[in-house]
Amino acid sequence: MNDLPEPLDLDADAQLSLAELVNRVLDRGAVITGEVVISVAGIDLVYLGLNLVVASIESVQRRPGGPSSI
Amino acid sequence: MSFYVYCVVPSAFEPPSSCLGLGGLPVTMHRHAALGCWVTGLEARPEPSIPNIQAHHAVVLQAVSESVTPVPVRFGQWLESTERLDRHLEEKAAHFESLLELFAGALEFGLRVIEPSRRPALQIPTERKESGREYLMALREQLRAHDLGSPETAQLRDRIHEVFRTSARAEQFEPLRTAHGLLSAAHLVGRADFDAYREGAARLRASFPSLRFLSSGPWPPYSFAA
Repeated sequence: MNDLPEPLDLDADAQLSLAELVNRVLDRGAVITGEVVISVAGIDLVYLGLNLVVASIESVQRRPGGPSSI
Repeated sequence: MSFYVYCVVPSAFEPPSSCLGLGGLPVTMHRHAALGCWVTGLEARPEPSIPNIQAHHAVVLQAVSESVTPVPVRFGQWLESTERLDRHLEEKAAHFESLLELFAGALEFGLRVIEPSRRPALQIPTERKESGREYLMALREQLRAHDLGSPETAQLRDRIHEVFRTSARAEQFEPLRTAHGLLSAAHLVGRADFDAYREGAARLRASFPSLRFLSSGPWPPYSFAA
């Protein structure tokens, strides 16, 4: 999601709508509960319960304590 | 009855009867005091998949934003009972009310700044570590140094702040950890200031002709809702 397509000859008003959308809904927004199941093509990728939250690797690294606190 | 939660809103803002969410099921209002949640009632735990993001979750958030700016809830939030939802709303009432006040009449714009000329990629630590934990800690320190140590990024951030100082209510910056990425910014902009924001983005492009500014939005204010 974070990799841009090559070549980098983009229009100044280029919209990265889907990538921006997925980044926002998965990585941001208020957290009500930590019970989340994310799947692709019917295969569960991530399930976290017990008040943990799924997040992109960037947000995990941003969190105080970083990955070592998981 | 369990609930899939889309957003928090003032309790007066009902979803339209035509609003459908997860699984094509109706979106309804769950009220608790002055707050409300747009939810979909479910008999069992859902299996939210990536395609549902755009098809259902984002569509509902777009619909609510036409009437009122909500506090968007992160994708995949599900609670097994009204009691749990009410307890959470009770505990976070002051926080949500503060956010709703900040968000009133505003939406989020995103800006990604990239430098098309080739930049050296981050160097993944290759020195052997005793454990995976030590490896990840070394990687984290390298990323922090990369994020914070660039004078050009600081100058860019200062210029962005200056350009949007009067049109944005709130602002956030994050590093972009890609080969060409410099940083990303999110701005909370009042609807009356959308044109001023776009004009500011145009001035930024003129100020930094070697950079690309990729804009998106308006969005519900996901970046400011945590």
